[in-house]
Amino acid sequence: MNIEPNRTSRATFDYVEGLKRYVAEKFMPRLRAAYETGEERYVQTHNGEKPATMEQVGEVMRPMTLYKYNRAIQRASQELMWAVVYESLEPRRAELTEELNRSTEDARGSVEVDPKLELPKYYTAVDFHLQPRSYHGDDLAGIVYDIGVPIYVLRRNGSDSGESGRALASVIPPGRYEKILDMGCGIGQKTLPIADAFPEAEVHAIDLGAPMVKYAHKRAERMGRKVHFSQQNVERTNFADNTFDLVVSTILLHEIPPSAIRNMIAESYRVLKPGGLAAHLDLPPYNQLSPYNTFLMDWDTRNNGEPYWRAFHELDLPAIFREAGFKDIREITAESKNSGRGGYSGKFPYWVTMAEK
Amino acid sequence: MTKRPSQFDDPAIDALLGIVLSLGSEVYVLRDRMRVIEKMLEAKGAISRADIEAYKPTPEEEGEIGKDRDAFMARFFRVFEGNPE
Repeated sequence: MNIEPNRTSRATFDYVEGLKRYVAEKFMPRLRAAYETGEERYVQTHNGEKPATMEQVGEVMRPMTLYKYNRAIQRASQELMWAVVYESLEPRRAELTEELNRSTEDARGSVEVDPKLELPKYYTAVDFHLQPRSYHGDDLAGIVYDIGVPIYVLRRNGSDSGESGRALASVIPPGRYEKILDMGCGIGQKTLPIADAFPEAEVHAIDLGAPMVKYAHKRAERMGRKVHFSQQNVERTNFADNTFDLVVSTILLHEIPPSAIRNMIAESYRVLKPGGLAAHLDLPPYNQLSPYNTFLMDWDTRNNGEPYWRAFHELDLPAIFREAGFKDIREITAESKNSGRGGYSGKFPYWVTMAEK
Repeated sequence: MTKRPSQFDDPAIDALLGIVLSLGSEVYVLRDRMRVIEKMLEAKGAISRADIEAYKPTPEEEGEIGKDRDAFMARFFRVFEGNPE
């Protein structure tokens, strides 16, 4: 499946990447300098107290014209990005859809969709990261995601968008993992580095979006990797109890509400063999970040199709693991070559919550 | 840095006008250049539009394109060099 853009599309993608790069690399330092001036004013009017919470940082930042422009450009560039990616694919829609639905010859792995699967409301109600029609509502959603994400993250996730998968693999204790499950795999960008790290393992990967797993399968086959993809809900899978040695997820937790996280962690426990390991990677909780970075990061909750972002970042995840029955629960950081998201809210390592059944 | 004088009640609108005018300038220069290039290419019978769409830059050229793009953005948003507050 060839998704190489033509010259016109490439130029428009390049333009959008330029906008995002400008915001992250040039505009943010300038905004920081302007914030510090505002912070001085805040100190003068608040008995010498500095802004100590994201709300207080917001009192300084929100009225600033520079802040408004910075965020307006970020939002507009995100919308423009998805629009131009879809526009570039429309002329090939019929051909690409047909190819996604055709079975792959001599496939190493497999794919299974479930047309009867009930999609949760929390999922269908959101255009994640502002991607139009999200991950379930357009046949081309997976391809659009594959083209859009490297632009979105300014190519920090590597040419295969697998950095967070490699970061996760790097902190999993060496051991014999015969069966591995990746929850909320999307198009498998982060599944493949996990599969590479444990080449003897049988790797299964699940996601709610049919267009995502269909494309994940094509992509993995194109890249010569063996993964079994299926369309399933991480809250309740069709795998038997005690099936897996390792259950992982990569940047899934913040996309789902706390109730779904609880179900997902309980499901991780159910499908793990006794002694099996769960390792779920996301970004650090707010209490690990400065008020300034927290305020900037929290913008995504309302403005970037991330409605569960704040709830996740304020969640007591170890407590949820405990409730599910896990033992030896630990929170560790995981570095990757290009750790950190977007760059504008500061650079920090990924955050992994890990436990044993 | 002295405060940038604002013509509108909201300085955000002044800044926006600055961006739009920069964009107009970029587009105008491009149009002019494209016109000259197209005329010259037509005269010499050199290339087709399909050739242009299929064009793939070398990695070195990609680097130049990236630098040119970042410079474009810096010009595009020059208004933020000052302080629009």
